[in-house]
Amino acid sequence: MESRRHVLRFSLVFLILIACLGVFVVKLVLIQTFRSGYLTNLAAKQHRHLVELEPVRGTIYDRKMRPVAFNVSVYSLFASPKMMSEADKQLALEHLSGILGVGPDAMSANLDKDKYFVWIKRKLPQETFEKIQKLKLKGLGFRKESKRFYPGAALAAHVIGFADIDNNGLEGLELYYNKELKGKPGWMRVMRDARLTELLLDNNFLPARDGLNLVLTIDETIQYIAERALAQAREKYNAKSATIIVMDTRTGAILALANQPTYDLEHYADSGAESRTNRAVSHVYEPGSVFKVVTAAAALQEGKFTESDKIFCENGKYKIATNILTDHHPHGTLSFTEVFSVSSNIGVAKIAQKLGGPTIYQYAKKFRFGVPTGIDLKGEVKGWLKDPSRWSRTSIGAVPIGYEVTVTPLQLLGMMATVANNGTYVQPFVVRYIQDKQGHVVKSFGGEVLAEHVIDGETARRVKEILVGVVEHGTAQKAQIKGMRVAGKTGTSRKVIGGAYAEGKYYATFAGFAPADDPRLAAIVIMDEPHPAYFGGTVCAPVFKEVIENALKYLESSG
Amino acid sequence: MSLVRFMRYTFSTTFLILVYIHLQMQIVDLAYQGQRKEARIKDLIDKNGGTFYAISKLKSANHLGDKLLSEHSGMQFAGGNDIIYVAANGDMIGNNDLEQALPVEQKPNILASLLSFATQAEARIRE
Repeated sequence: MESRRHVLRFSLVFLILIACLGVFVVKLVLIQTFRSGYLTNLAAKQHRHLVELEPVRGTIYDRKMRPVAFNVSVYSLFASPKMMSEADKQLALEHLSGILGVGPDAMSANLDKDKYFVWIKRKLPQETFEKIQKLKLKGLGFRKESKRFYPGAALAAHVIGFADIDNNGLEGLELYYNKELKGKPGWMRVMRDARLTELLLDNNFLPARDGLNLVLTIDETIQYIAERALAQAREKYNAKSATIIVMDTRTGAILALANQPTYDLEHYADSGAESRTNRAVSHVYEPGSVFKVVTAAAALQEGKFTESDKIFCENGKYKIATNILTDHHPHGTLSFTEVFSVSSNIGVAKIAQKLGGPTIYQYAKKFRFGVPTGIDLKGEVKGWLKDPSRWSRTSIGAVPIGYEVTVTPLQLLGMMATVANNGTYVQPFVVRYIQDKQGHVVKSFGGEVLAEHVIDGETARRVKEILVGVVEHGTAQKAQIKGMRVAGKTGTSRKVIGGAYAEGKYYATFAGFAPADDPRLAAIVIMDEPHPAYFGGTVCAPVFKEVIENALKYLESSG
Repeated sequence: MSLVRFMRYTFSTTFLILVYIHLQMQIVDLAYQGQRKEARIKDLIDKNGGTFYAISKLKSANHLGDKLLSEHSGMQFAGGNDIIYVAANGDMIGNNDLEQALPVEQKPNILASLLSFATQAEARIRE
């Protein structure tokens, strides 16, 4: 009886075990058959992690290999609100609001999200990162990212431009050469254990290809000299905006390019569109008398005038069709050279009448007005040069003196550099070469001749002499540099506002080069609405003198 | 197969397996050590980046210019006329060794050497 009970009990336990085993087997079969795919994926997601490898954005150097834009690793702060208790969130709020300077409401809105990952603040300064790291707050973490730094702050801001928080170029060279600078991201597949620690097993990866470096033609020192002089002059003459460009006449290399107002590249978000506009290439205006260089070159090249030819300047008033052309100071008879050194509108109009509209147009075209220079900067506009078939009866008195034609400051400088360069038009450029991380040159630029004989060498020499006269005896005496001959031309043009010339609003310009006998640097200075003084020779020529004098000294001593 | 022979094979196989496992563990251990060192190097590179930025900012023309060429500063760029060229005598020409620039009696400072406080010229001589 006793043994039978034992057998029964044994059988019962055995049956229960067999039933349990059966359940497990069925469950296993079900899992294996129907859920294997889902569970395999789930496991893979937990153990295998795909990490994107961010490429390092290329560095931008000035012509002497001084870094002007480069990337440094920084940390970004994130939170996992789903893994934080209310107490953790409260603690994070208390500490972080003060350190990060973010309002508690904004912070709280982030921490209340029902998510595993939210950015709290990206790309923290090193000291902020260290402060927060020391707090060891639960639910917060850091991710390493690469941040763009601009040690020169506002220096060459309009040339360099900036990249956004995700390292995408948005302005200037950062945008123009974004593809080269950005590089190509890579990836890495890593195995992780249950605690999400990376295991050194079965790692596959494709390394990121870092961006290429740019070496500019901009010289940090000359850029600083130019920016400083321009800012001081703009302040002194209350100008709305101002622009300066300094170019190596022989190669077309831009050594400095600055605009006022400007902005700090490290705080670009605080700047307005007005201060971010690169007026050197994106702004067009009627240049006024600087354009007379085209007329002078055309007249001499065509052999219609010589320097000693006399021109009667009508004592200050001259009627062309319905318009009465005036000079700032009335003049009687002037020589061809004097017409340009005193910048007589009437004298130049009379020269142009003899040459004819098509000739003026042809030479303006040759000096590449109405077409972009092709500089490697975004936003270059081509200006406006009217075909002679569309000229009005008064155009012959307007175009040759720089009205009814719109140009960019860079186009004007291109014209001046062509005269300096004995009639050869060299394309301006700002990037000398692109190099890889090992320093090998991948691509080089510069020195491209766009037009070989805009005017011939002899005509260029004669125009130079006229431009030297402008500085030595004419309207640009404030551009004189001790110990060297300077060539240049002033311009003071009325500003168009709402389709009409505004009363008392002018553009002042001075463009020139030095030394006149062996030109090395050409520069243009433009001010928009300077006052009370507004003549190019008064407000812009001194800036030219200061910048070119110092830049030449610097180049002489530094090579 | 005799038991002794079987045991011998078993022991030798086990031994080889243990050696293999040991070597694998060594490899993984070294890999982790390498990973730690790599992390340290990356950390140092990051710190170097930060320092490089700080130095670049201080060295930038913007910063130096604002310091040196302030409104009332008499500082100017040196032109060709401001530079005086001194003719070197025959003995000095062609003897441009950096050792000449250092005082002969200068004794190396051990503390400075340890902390790499040597001047650039000294460092170049030591190379």
